[in-house]
Amino acid sequence: MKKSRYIAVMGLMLALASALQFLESLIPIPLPLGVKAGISSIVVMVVLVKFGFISAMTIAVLKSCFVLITRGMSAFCMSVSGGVLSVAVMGAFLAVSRKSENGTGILLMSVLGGIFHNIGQLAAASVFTGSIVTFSYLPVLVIAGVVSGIFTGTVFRLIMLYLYNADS
Amino acid sequence: MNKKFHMIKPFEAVIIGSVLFGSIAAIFIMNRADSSSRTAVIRCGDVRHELALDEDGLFRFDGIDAEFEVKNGKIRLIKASCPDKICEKTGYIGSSGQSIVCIPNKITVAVAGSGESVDVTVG
Repeated sequence: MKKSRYIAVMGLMLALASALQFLESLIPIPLPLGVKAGISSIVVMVVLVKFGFISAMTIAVLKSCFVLITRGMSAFCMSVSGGVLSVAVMGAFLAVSRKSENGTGILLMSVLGGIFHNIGQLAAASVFTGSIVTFSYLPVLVIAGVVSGIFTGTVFRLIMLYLYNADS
Repeated sequence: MNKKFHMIKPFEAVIIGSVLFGSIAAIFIMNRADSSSRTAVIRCGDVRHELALDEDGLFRFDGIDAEFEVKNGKIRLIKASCPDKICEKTGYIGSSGQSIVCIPNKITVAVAGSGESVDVTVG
């Protein structure tokens, strides 16, 4: 792919991820933990599969910078720790599973991403509060990560049906 | 669709299912009711207060920008100054191991059973 085209597509992806993240924050979820479905992580997964690990990490970090502008420092730290950890785990999973005969299990990848996104946020929260008490939320957040991972993985699969063979 | 991507294979379903099962089991173990008298440990930065949960009422502490309501051996956080009110939405907690966390105000409330200590800190 030409470099100019790559930059343009990455810009589009970043705009899409930021917009989806903002729209998602408008949907109230009646859970006490600020759990999200993670719609914008679908964009990150598309970038991860189509353009590779470094591009996905870039989108995840820049997406968090959008949070820094709109919602402040503590929200940024939560967002960036969750995003970076989730991309790191999904990238590692992708690298390992592509070498195996089985190929990549999309659902397992996005479930792992969802779980580790929440674990990353929890780690940031415990540093913020200076207390490991926050980790008592871990089981609930793991379940939330699995549920949101199943949701995003399903949507991601539907998108990839159209995107995989598209001209990149 | 190419063959490199599949949705889910049986062994992957087993992994996801066992993670779910483990989490649900952990929630049940943590919420196991014990009838002994409990205290809530309220922390905000270097400020630390202990509050016995056997007396109903409204409580406020210096240096903590929130109010606490104790009722029937349970505690909840009210009148928080944070924008998202996630701490208030947590509602009442009363079993040992449960907690309320307010990230913007750096407040944590943890319920400890008698003889238990939650005075472990990181960071």
